[in-house]
Amino acid sequence: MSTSGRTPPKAENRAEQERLSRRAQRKLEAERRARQRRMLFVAVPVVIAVIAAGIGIWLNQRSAQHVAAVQMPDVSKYTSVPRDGRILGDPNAPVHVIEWGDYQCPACRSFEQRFFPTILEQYIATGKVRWEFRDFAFIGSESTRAAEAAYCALDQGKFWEFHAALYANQTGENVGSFSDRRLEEIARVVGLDVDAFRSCLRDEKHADAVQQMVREAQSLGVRATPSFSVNGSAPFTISSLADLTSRIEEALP
Amino acid sequence: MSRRPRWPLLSLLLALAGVAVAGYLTVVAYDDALLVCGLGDCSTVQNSPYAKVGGVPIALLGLGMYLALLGGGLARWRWPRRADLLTSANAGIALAGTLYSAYLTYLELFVIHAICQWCVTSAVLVTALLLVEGWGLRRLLRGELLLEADPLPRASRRQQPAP
Repeated sequence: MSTSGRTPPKAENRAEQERLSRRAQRKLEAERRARQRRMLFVAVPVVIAVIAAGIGIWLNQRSAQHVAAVQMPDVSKYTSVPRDGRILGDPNAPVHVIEWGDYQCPACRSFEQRFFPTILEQYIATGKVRWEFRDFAFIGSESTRAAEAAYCALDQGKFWEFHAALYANQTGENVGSFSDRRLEEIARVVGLDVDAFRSCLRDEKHADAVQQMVREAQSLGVRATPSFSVNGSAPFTISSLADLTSRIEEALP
Repeated sequence: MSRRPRWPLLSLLLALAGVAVAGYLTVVAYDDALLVCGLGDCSTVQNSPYAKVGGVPIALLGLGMYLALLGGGLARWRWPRRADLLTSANAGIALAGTLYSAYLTYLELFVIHAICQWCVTSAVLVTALLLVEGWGLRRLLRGELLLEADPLPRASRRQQPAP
């Protein structure tokens, strides 16, 4: 029997084993690449997400902590009406409105700048309403310091100017809008005696009075700002100017 | 009948809820008729200087994120062959959103001192999305199929013209 033209069995087996081995290696290699590819599908988004979140946080911190230069608002609206300390308007006006506010509250600023001029013109300047501002400092320590600073301005007869200037220079909650240094700058643009103001603030001359006012508001049921009371009513909040003017109209004789 | 995994559908539902919540918060962010500051009030949080990045309300960025997750989820449903890439992208977006939400919740608790319940809802939703997409990534890592079944119904496949 001739074996010519045929590979010996041993050599055939060896070739087969090599072929299988190459196939196994290719398979292993393919599996390794697939595993690497799958790892990339996890690693790449994780790295990108962490970097993106980090950049977002950095941008947010940078923009939030930018405290703008102090500006002086137009306060001419307050000089045209009678005033006594933190009360604006005719002392004999038939309606007494109390507003509780926090100088760090954006809604209080919004009310002061958008709606209060209308109230002043239609009700306070006309002798119908006597308006009183009381502190309900609850947002943070800068709220309390701002309220104490307004009290120091009251000592110098410029409560309402300082009050308007605080809102005009509100840049956010507890980000340095009302740091002691910035409160002094506000006092300067308002035209206060800065040395007297500084010592009043440093000595916490009105800290107890502010705390007392906040406690009193809490006992009356104030929970948010701005809250209002018309002729001794329970405190209420508003969602439009009409909510307040209708209560005033009802109280008018 | 092949079993279709439920997690992609859960991801779609969570993203849809996120679109609703972030949409509401975006409306609040652009509403300048804010008249109350109080604890638990979204307006206080939304009007904080921390509520913006480069002048853009974070709520709007959140809306964009949920829309991207919804779009990614729908695309994965439609093109299952791209499920690995789309799951990877969705997981990355959800991780970035979760990290940023953790930062925002820290701000609410310790800086702004006002908790907005809808912001917290959004934080919970995006964390849940991360868990769901993370589940998908886990399957991907193990070499398992992400979507077992072709989403196209058999009938519609039969109707396709023969090449």
